[in-house]
Formats: sequence, structure tokens, C-alpha cells
Amino acid sequence: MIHIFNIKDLYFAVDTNSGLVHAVEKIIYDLLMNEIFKDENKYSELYSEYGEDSVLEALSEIQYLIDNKMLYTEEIKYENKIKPVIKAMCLNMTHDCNLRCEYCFASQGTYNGEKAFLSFETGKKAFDYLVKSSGNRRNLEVDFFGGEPLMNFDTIKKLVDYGRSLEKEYNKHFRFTVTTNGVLLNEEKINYINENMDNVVLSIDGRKETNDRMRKTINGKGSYDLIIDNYKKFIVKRGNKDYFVRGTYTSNNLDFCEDIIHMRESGFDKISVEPVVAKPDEKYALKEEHVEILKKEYEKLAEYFIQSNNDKNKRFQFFHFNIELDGGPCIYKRSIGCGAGTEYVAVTPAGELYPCHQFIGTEEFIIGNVDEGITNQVVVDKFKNISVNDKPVCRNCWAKYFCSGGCHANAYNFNKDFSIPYDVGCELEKKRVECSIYIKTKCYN
Amino acid sequence: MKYIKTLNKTKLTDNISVKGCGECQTSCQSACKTSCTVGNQKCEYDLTQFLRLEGKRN
Repeated sequence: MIHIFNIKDLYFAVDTNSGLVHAVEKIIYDLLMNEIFKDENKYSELYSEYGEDSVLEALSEIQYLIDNKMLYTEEIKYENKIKPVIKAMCLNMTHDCNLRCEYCFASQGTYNGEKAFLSFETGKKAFDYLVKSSGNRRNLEVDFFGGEPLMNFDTIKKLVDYGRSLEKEYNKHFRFTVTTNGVLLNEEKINYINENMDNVVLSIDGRKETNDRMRKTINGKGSYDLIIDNYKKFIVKRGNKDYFVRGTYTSNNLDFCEDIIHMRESGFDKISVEPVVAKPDEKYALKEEHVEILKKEYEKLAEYFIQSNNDKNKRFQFFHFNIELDGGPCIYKRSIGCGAGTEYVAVTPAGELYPCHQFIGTEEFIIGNVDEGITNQVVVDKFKNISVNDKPVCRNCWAKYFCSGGCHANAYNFNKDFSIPYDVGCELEKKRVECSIYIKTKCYN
Repeated sequence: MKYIKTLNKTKLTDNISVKGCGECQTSCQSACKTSCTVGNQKCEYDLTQFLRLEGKRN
């Protein structure tokens, strides 16, 4: 399987099964289009445009790639060597929030339940479970999440200390992340987070008007003015450590590139902005009719990215434009999917385990608890057999080893079926991969 | 090659007999939380092997 595409003046061919990406001249692109290189009657029509010698030379280069398993490579037969164990955890420190974001999948922090705070005791049990379930894996991940996790800051600190004590005892390495809306960030918290968190996700949607339309205080006012200076202070002290300012775009800001430009011009250099996950009847939901507009917006963003990259003071990372063509994950990792329920669980303040944070609040998806571990194998098994090659739509998709099959929660929310991915999400992901490849060529080759 | 430049140095099929340690980041734990992407992650096989050896030495 191959995929050919072009952006502006550049042409590409992606060979799905080898993972190879070829930057090609237009003559190659034309020969690969509809596989006309296989039919002399068809490719000879290109003689008038390129000359016979050039066409024949290009044909020999295509044949070289095919002979060397670099193009039209057959599907690899393998047994997945990764035996998934739970090694990553989304720890909901609160089911409560000090903002009332309109699009919040967690129903303003409560996940359709009661307000609650995670206790240190429950957090400890969650860490013990994580260590025990992770077998011989060394790297463990914990994301302090919510609701708003900084509302339960003292417990976070105690849990980080507890995690560090387990590291020595069990030869593990905890990687901590905190995802915050920024309202409670002050100097003490900034210093602590910078010292102890491997990654930090700072929520903001971009321009003040974009942010304030969806991210509101309890009194219904915009939150931008409450958080922007906190974030600016935070990144000054962050140094080279990882963080992302992370936004969500909706049908209200299809021009989300302007929000990213605003973030960059505000001083942030690690940016992630993602499409909203919403039921189709929500007025801010992204729909099929938006896809072409959004694709153009990603191309616009790619041009802005390239232009910024030319100036070392303006450079930035955009999460979805990062791509590892060498040194990326192995084929096993690329095929097993996001890991929900098999490598990753979400923990509620009550100590329930869910396959991931997106399912919290839907009781049929409770898979266990921090005391007993996994108790509902029936649900876990549903998440086990949905690797990218188990999904008919994904199996034949050129981008399958870049996205690994998409978000299970999205698939379930839209199609009530884990094996049918959310098609709008797929189209946007494919466009982002194309833009990433284009950027890689423009900036680094 | 005159018309084709391959951007990668390695194929997905290279070294598959030694890969698959499972130490890399869980896809959704990065910055997204709503979209699964693996193409931008790093392989941690070499680093983990190194740290394991270091651990044994110490």
C-alpha cells in the first residue's frame, strides 16, 4: 500500500508497510498516480511532457524501490511482542473544577457524578497497583488530572514523594505530568511543578476571544486574564523541560491557526491545539462540512511553522507536527493502539479504574478498583483485540502506523463500536501527518 | 537517484526481532488526551537497555 500526495511545490510517496517516506519529483508522482507506471499505453502519454528518456529513467527508479522493498511493500506478518501491562495512569485528583468550560467532556469536572477529591490513601493504593501491575517495565507514567488537580495540590506533593520512594524499592522510574487550567498557579506551585513534573500541560485555547467563549469561570466570565500571566511566569522558569500549552478548537474557531500564532507571539514555544470531541448535535461540534476548511488551516499552519523555523527566536514545536521518521516507535507499538484498558487506566477519587479518562462516569466501563485491580475482564477484553490491523477501516489506511488507530473513546462516542474510528478525526490526522512530512522536508532536508 | 529522495534511514521492519520492549510512552499520556498519535513518539529501547545495564553495574 502506498499514499501519494503533494503540498505546494513538493510531492511525496509514503510506503505504509516499510514506513518509508520518499520525497519525489512530479514525474514520479504522475507515474504513481493511478499506477500508470504499470501500463505503457498510459505512461507513454507523459513523454510529451517530460520526454521519453526521463520517463524511462523515472520508471527504473520506481522499479528499484519496489525490488528493494521500499515501495508497495507487502504487509509484514508478525506476532506482537509487546505483552501489554498497565504502566500508565491518569489519576483524577479531583472531580471538581474552578472553571466551567462549555465543551468539557468531564461535565465541568464532576463526570456526571458528585464532587470529590482523591485522598492520599486512595492515591497510594493506585501507585501500589501501578507498580504491581507493570511487571518488569521500568518506566511508569502518572498524569495528575481532574477536574482541576491543583485544587488538591498537597495530595499531589505527598503522592510524588510516595512515588519516588517506590522507585528505589522496585527499580521503577515514575514520569509525572500535571494537566492544569492555570487558575491556581502561583510561585510556590510553579516552583514545585518545575522541579517535580516531567511534563506539564497548560490549558488555554489561544486568543482571548476564543478562550473566553468556551473556558469560563463559575460566574460565566472569561478565564484568559486569570491564567495568561501565570503561564508566562511558568514558562520563564520552566527552562528546557517539557511542557505544552494545549488548546481545543471547535467549529467556533475554524481559523485556529490564528490562535496558535497568538500563543507563539505570547512567548509559548511548545504548543498543542486539538479538535474538540463532541457529540454531533452540539453547536460547537466539528462536522464533515468543516473538514476541507480545517485541512487548509493545517496547511496554513505548516507555512507559519516553516517561516518561524527560519528564525531561532521564533521557532516552536507543534505537538501534531512532530514526527519521528527514524527513531520512532517500533512496528509493535505502532499497531497496538492507544493502550486504553491494556496499558493505561484512569483512576477516580473513589478508587475505581476505567480504561481511560474519557470513559469515566459511564459505569458499564468500570474495569476494577485500586484495592483489587482489574475485576471486569469482559470489558478489558473488548480493548485487547482492537489493534490497528483488527479494524477494517484502519487495516487499509496508509496512515495506520502513524496514528495507531485513533482514540477508542471517539470511536465509541460516534459509532458505538471500537472498531470503527471517528472519520472526521481520521481525515484531520491524515492531513497532520502529510503536513508533518512536508515540514520535515522543508526545514530539515 | 535523480527523482526520488528517501527521507528515512531505517524501515519499520528493521530490527523487529529485538524491538518491542514496551517502555515507550503510552500514546495518550502526552499532550493530547483526545487523539492517539504514535508517529511522533520516540523509541526508548536503547535508553532502557542502557539504564538496565547501568542498574546492574551499580
